[in-house]
Amino acid sequence: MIGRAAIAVWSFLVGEDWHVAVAVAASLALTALATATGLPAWVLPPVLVLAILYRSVRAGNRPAFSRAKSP
Amino acid sequence: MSGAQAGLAVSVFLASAVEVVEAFTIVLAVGSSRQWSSALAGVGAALAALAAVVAIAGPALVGIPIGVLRLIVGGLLLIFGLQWLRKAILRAAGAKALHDELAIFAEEREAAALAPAARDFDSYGFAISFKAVLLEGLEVAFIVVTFGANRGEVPLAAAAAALAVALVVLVGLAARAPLARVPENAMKFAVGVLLTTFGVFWSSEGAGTSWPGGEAVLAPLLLLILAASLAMVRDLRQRRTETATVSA
Repeated sequence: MIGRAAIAVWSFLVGEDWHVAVAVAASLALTALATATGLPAWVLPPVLVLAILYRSVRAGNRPAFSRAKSP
Repeated sequence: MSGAQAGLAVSVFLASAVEVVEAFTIVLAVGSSRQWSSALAGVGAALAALAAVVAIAGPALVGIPIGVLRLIVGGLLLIFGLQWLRKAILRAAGAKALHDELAIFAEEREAAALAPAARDFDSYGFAISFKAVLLEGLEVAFIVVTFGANRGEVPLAAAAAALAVALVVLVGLAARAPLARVPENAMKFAVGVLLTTFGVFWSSEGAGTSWPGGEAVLAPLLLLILAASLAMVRDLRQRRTETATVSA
């Protein structure tokens, strides 16, 4: 019962691509680190999030990306 | 109403409308093909469960320090928004099937017709309606609670969701058919962009970042994410065309 609930919560929040959740957590940690060192860290999140989205979209359409490269 | 409040209300309204359209299709299919009283009892039970979730989670989250709340809840909202946006981009590029209410309605009616008939209380109709409203509604509840808690505006978020529910149900009852003409896929794309924008903004603030211009940065941030998403759709379509050409 608890296991099924945990799986339901996981799939509800994390969805089809778990890499997104891991990458978002890493990008927030990097942002916090940059902020702590006094850098203008606000430029980081939009760039990192768009990179995460691009990778996830590519992964969701893997066949088109891999085949398009071949002659 | 400030720009951020308007953005919050529009985001919650659109997200809620999309989810209610989906739940409405299933309830309509089950109710019209089996028994309305049981289907509506399922809707009522699910709405009560959802109201309890919002009533408990909303105040509980508001009590958490704003920095921690924005980091954790903003981060979750960002992950959630990216999943919506990813699916919307794949759908817009033709890499994933579009959401088709008429097809879902037909499938649900077919499944309802195959289920054993009920004499008094139709447990099948109750269960399907309950599950549809609860699952679609949980997404709405999550958005209401996260948006509302981050801005300390749970009542505004709940009101926007309630307005969307009322509007979709009224239009649906008037049409007495699945709301297939609602531009659901475009709305999902818009919601994905909005959730991602607010998620980036709040989670970054939670991580200690100060945005230049404060909340005024939301508009350019939204435009950046929208432009990048549309560019990804175009890129994906082009690659799919190239793939099809190579395969042919």
